[in-house]
Amino acid sequence: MAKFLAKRFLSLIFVVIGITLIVFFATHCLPADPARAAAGPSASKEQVEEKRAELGLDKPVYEQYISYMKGLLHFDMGKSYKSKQPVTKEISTRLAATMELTISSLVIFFILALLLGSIAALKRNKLVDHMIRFFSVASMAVPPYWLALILQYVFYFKASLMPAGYRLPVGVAGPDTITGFYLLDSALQGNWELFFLSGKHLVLPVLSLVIGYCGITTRMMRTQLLQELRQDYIRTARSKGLLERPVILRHAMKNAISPILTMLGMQAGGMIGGTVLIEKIFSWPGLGSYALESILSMDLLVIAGITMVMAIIFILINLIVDISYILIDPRVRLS
Amino acid sequence: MKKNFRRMLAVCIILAMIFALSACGKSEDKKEETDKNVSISEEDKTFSVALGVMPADFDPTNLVGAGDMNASRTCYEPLVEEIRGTTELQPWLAESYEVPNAKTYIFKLREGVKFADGTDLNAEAVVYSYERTMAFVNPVSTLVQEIESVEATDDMTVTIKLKSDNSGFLYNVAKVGIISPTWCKENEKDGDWAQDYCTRNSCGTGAYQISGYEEDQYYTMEKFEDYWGGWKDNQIDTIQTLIVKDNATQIQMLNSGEVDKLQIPITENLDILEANEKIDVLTEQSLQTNIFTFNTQKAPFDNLLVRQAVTLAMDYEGVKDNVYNGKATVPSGFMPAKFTDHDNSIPQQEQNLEKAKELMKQSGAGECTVSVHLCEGSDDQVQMAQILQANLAEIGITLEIKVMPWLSLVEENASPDTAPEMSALNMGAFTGDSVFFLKQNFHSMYSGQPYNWSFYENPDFDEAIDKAAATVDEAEKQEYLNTAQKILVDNCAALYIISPDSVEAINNKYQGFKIHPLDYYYSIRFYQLTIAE
Repeated sequence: MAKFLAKRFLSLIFVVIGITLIVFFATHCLPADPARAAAGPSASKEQVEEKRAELGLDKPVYEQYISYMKGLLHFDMGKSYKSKQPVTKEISTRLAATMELTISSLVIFFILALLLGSIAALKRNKLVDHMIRFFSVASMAVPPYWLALILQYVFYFKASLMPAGYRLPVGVAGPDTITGFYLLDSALQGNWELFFLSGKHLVLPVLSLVIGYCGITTRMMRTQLLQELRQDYIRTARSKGLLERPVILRHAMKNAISPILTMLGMQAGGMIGGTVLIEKIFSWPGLGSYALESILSMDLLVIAGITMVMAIIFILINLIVDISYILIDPRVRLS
Repeated sequence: MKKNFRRMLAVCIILAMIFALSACGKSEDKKEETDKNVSISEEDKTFSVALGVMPADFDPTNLVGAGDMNASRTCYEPLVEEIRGTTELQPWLAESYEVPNAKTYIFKLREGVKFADGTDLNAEAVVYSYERTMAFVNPVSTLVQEIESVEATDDMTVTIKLKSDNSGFLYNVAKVGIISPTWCKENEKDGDWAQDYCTRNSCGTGAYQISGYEEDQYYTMEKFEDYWGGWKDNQIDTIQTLIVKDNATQIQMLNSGEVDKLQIPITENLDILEANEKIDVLTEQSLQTNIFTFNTQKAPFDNLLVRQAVTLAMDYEGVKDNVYNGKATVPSGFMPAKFTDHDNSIPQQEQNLEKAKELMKQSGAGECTVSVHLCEGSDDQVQMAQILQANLAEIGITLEIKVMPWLSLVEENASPDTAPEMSALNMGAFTGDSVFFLKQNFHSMYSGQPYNWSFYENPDFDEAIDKAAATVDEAEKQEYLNTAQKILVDNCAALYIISPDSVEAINNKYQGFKIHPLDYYYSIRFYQLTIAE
């Protein structure tokens, strides 16, 4: 396994270089001037040129790239043209919010998809199977952002049961940082009031993502489990007298889950990018909405930084998925 | 055994990676709230306002949008202040001022004014604030770029001298906030004039100062107890600005009472808000004219007859009724009627399709295709363009509509060769200076720069504007401005489509709010709000 991990981390470095190269040169080809954006809309041509020199944008692109990569070696992604704050700091304050939303949604939707898919497979052609299949199709058809608006309208505006957004009520400070996840950090510190408040604020955004993404995984789980249940080894296990529960849980499910894990890795990437609109609707202070603001204001270094971070996260999530195959299938050797 | 070890190792690696991912994010260092776990919104004297984007900066020199300005203008005050709801000025931190000529401005400061750090306002602080504003290229630079010198003539008198005549410079003075030099010098880093520290902290003379924030979620301002204007019992103690990125969510929060005011256009949701008894919907004429510029250096708009034809083809009443639900005024020329210097003899724009067709025939341009480039996110521009498209089809012009990001629009309008035939601009007055309002859009010195996207170069117009700027005689100034306005109308320098009204909504628990026509809309002077009994 050590060799496998070493190879994957090495490849990560090359991927990062490739991504920064593409993003850096692509953003410099955009038909808009970041110096103008930084100087302000009413700045004169002379002021824009002054700003360009101040930000180092008057140098050749390859020189800017080399300087950027040198900074990256020290984890310095430069400064935001808009806020003048270090990009690393801007991203790190928002990354935890996005990761909390994404990971919570991933875990819940995965468990839910496994559960619903399994029930649908085991109760094939019964009423509950039809209901779950209907729910899966509906979930695939409904865009998460539309769902978010509906949930907010119903549970916040009409029923006043849930907050409109944010990670915590206004004026309430978050827990001391351990992981950056409010739910986890407040639990670790035993601050149960904060734990419940954080959880309450997570409900609607997580629900929007979970419902929006779990449909396809549910269907896939149902199909995979049905396929496994038809296999010879399952017939053998039953004929040996094993109870139905261990046949399903210990044998069929384990084999059915592998393709689901692969799908989870791909959906994680989609979810990280897809949180943009959810973060906007629920005023969630995450990376997605920050990326959108940066693109609109041509904050090039922030765009490059966020793209790189998101790519690294996506690769790491898929690496986690690959490693987790060991847990599921003892035949798997990572090589 | 080996199998179990591999599984344990896999679990440990996965957990380590998850924690590594999460540990990359850490909470921003934020100002401490005095009561950590008490929701401030429960207080009766708290005013909540929703804003779409967290201000990038509270620094008075680095303001870009309405959100930045509301915070900064609350904390930092200028020497002269705009009278709410008007374009007029009144003495503020300066108790009086003199303008002996269009290049010299003398300000006598008010006694007894303190900064939030307890230091006194004096001439040295004003000089420092102006020098600080002039030290960097930033959005506020254009307001002070013509300053030649700022001097403390005595302890409480400041003299500003300009490089060239500008009788409207006082309007710029109203936008420059005065900051505590002592506080800046204490918090300076590597000669940055405390720019870094000012991003999220404040120390001005204003009635409220920044007291806390959570990045991308909210910021709060608390009342400055020693404010020179004094306090009454029924004034606000705390201002809470919530960052609510979605417009629909903002409307819901206003309707439910969670916020007291919004900073977004609400024309489309008027019926919902008007039906709420706890909300007052206010409408005022604005200082904005929405225009489509004509690229006067590119065919067919290098031909005056074609420009006149397009001007007569436009359905202005249709735009007013269908795009703005009647909450707008058909303009008379470029300068909005709310400006006191507006030439009231200029008639309103009117559609006349027959005359338009005649003028097109006379022009010899024949059937042609032109394009109009609009700014992304401006639904009203798209609707106006669609109406114009239908109108122009009747006079033999095909109009192509293209939407693009704002910065791309600015980029392509740097030169008449790259600029399209028409570009959309919603021109609102930033200052109350009517001369600058006309100058910025049509003086030849701004050709190829924001916002003379018509590339209009007319020596007669330039002369009228320059003379208006150079004189301190109001009657003379008015005459020159009337000449300039008439030239723009006769020459059809742009298509002046509509002046939309400002429509804002506020919780009617708060009295004293007036819609202010400057500062890119949604400007609030919190100090002037009182809580109804």
